[in-house]
Amino acid sequence: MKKYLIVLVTLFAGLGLAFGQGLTVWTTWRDLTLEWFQNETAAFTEAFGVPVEIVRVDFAQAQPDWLLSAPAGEAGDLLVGVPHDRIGELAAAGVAANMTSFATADFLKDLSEQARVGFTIGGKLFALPMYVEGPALIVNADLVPEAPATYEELLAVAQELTSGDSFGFMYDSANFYFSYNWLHTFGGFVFGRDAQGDLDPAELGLANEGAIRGGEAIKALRHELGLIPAGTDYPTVTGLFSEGALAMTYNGPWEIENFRNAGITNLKVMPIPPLADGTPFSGFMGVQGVVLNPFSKNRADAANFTKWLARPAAQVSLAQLSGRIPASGSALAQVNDDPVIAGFGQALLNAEPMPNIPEMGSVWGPMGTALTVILESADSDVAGSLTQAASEILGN
Amino acid sequence: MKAIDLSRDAKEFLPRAKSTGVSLWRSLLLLFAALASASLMGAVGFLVLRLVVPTAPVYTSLVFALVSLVLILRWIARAFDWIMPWYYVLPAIVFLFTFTFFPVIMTFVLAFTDYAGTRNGELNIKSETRVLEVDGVVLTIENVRNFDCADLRNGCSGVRTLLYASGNHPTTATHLDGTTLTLEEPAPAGRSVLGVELYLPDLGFGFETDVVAADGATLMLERAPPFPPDLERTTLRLDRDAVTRTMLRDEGAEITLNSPLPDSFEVEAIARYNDFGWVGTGNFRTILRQATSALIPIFTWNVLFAVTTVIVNTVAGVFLAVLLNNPDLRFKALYRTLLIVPWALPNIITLQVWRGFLNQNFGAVNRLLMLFDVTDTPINWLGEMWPARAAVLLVNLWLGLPFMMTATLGALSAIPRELYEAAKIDGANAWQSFWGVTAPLLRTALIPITLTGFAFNFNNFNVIFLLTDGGPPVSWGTSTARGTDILISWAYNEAFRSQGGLAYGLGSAISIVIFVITVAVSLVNFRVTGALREEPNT
Repeated sequence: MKKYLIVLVTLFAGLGLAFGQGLTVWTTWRDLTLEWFQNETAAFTEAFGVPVEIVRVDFAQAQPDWLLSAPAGEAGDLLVGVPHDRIGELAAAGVAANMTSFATADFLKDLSEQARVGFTIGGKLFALPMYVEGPALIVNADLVPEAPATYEELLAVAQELTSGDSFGFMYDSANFYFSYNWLHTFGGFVFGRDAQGDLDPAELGLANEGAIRGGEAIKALRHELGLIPAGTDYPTVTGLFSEGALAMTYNGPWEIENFRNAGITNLKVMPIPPLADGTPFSGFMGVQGVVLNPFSKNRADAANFTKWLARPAAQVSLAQLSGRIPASGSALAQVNDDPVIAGFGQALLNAEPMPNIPEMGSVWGPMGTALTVILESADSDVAGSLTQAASEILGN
Repeated sequence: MKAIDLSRDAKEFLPRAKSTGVSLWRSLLLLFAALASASLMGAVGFLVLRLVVPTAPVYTSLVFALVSLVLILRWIARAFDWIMPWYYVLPAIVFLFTFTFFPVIMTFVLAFTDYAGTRNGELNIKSETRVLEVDGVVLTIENVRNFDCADLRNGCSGVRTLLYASGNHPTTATHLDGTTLTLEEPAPAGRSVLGVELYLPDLGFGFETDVVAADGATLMLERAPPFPPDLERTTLRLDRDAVTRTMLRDEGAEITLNSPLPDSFEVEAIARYNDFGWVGTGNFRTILRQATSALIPIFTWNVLFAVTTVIVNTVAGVFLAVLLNNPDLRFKALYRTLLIVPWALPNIITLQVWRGFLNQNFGAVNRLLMLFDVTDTPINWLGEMWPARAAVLLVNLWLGLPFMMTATLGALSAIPRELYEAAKIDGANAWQSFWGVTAPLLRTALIPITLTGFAFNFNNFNVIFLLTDGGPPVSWGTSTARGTDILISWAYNEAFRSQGGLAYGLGSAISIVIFVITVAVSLVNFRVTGALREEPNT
């Protein structure tokens, strides 16, 4: 009996020792970004002698799973590939560690302003940014050899190219993520900022005069100008562009590879040209970063790996391999000879990081509804739809 | 072990029929006592193991529990031999409790709380802010907006907070030899040094490592940095000495705690917890408040959807089955195979294809309709409420038809041919023999199928979610209750898509409402169709 007990205890002790060694990292990445991640992991293990296990998680499930399993001690030490607009909720739920002390002055100075703002809440940084992403005007240069210089010119070119089964300019206009560019450029905004620079969820700018003008401009794309037919959704737009039936679209860097694989190689990426009065277009952008699990049992190593992944050299190799736009200024300068990266980089200069506070969660639904109603008919009530959405957002 | 006494009658080993009532409770009691004591043994064993091996994982308690359960069950079986047959159902009972009763109980409990992803009882790291001034139990904090308790049910009152002293201490080291780090001046007194950060100029960031032992200005590091560090830029990670207090009230930047802080404690920052708690019937009141814009219209469409689907699918299925059952039909196997295809393909894929077919300008359905001049303007299948509802019913017919057809074919093959011959001799035409022979004999076979069909379609989340995703948005609804949303997809939207996701409290309340409605509808259903009555065999 005693012998068995000794065997049992040694067995458990061995199991216990096996835990607490090395790192477990959750990632939402796939394909090229995953390849980059595996390279960086191997390099880190070699340099620091810390084994890293990669766990792939589904993008949509990553956040709820992290929220539930991090306090239970079942999540990874790091979550890689967190869009900044989720950071408010993760930090509020206590599952994203405060990383302010990791970010040195040099690091912050080198970082794109929007990437810093994106991951900052109440003056504290909750993730280290790796790359920025956001939509820009993607032009099939075979169909539009001369890029338009103003928005009005763009509309004229697009109208000329739209006939029958070919289209000039289309985007997923019922999607608030894309359409915010119009609402924002004409004077709307989601949340205002208070004196300390924090977002104020009570100050909503989605039904102000500017937003209504923006809404009218979006409606005009469908009804007045006839550019974006009813029934247009995301797959329709990307499908038409891949077939070469669409000359210009407003989409993000994640589609570039698909377009190229479909044979559209002569691409030009640029900001949507400014309005006649010089106002630049300024839409949403996102930042992707690394979140550190505050419940991590191996915090020192996890912190080292976080900093390793976010260092400028890593961002350069990420950009070279997968075309992601670095969040670090020095890294961006090193890959600026790639016209697509440079184009997105330029378009994102004016962009605004999506609000990162949890209140943003109740904006998407009502705004999606409002856009659908606005686009439904030529005589839809833009002001009424936006006001209703705003009151629903504030009521939540 | 005692062998079974073969001289006794086998019946004596079975549960006695007469005393079932008593022995049922006695047996269940014994089994639960066994399970409870085994769990207790598991916990005790685990705690003891933790004393010996501090890193022992939690799942070792399961091993202890399992071993003790086997031993306890053996002992019980020796003491009460009549319990043996019950052991066969013990696994089923355990699974019933873990996978059925436990989730149901949790759902009921959660429905009366405001639990959500951001109200999970953990420390709200985002809320951390500096404490500017301490005056007895009243603190002045720096950032009110970040600290605010607006998303908690009673504001800040009664919410736990964590107050702590600073954790980072920038300093300078003079010497690093392997894992021994010498500081210029000793670490702050009275605080333990947990870790250290050494800046690595080669990589452009600081290397973190734990401190194994500290003695004045000498620190033993767990690991040496992989690259030469810049010792001028060294940061010590000190323990964040922390105390927990409960807030009584908050007025602007002033927060009142339930008791003062210890004298020696130099507070630097404060963070609050995401406390969740009982909200009574609050969730149900929220649901009722939305009755006219969500609950009632959604319920109406849900019933309409389930009833229409069942009727349309049954009629079409029976029609096709009767046609296919005709012995004179050629290529019967081919038709049958083709008609079963929608059933064989995973609907998660076919529904996406249907989404494409139904696109207003680019979809095959509208192109065909316009080609045959059925309509001259494209129908907005997924963008307007009634077309979207028609589309849902149509696609659901395509999906559900093979099942109804196959079931009916099976029932039809059980009807003897002689009955049709007899009907023919009596002068009945095809129509009369269908209503006189086929229909009455199909009835017994089809009623259970249609009832399960109704129950299934009443909660048919897949079709709605994958085809229309509940849309289109409508003016009478909310962003979670739209044109084709049924109760279950509405619950999903409320629980997982609004309020930043994971609104488990409200989601549980809605699922209880759905449960009540489903039970009521099923009871009415059974009563009307008489499915619960024992029917004499015809």
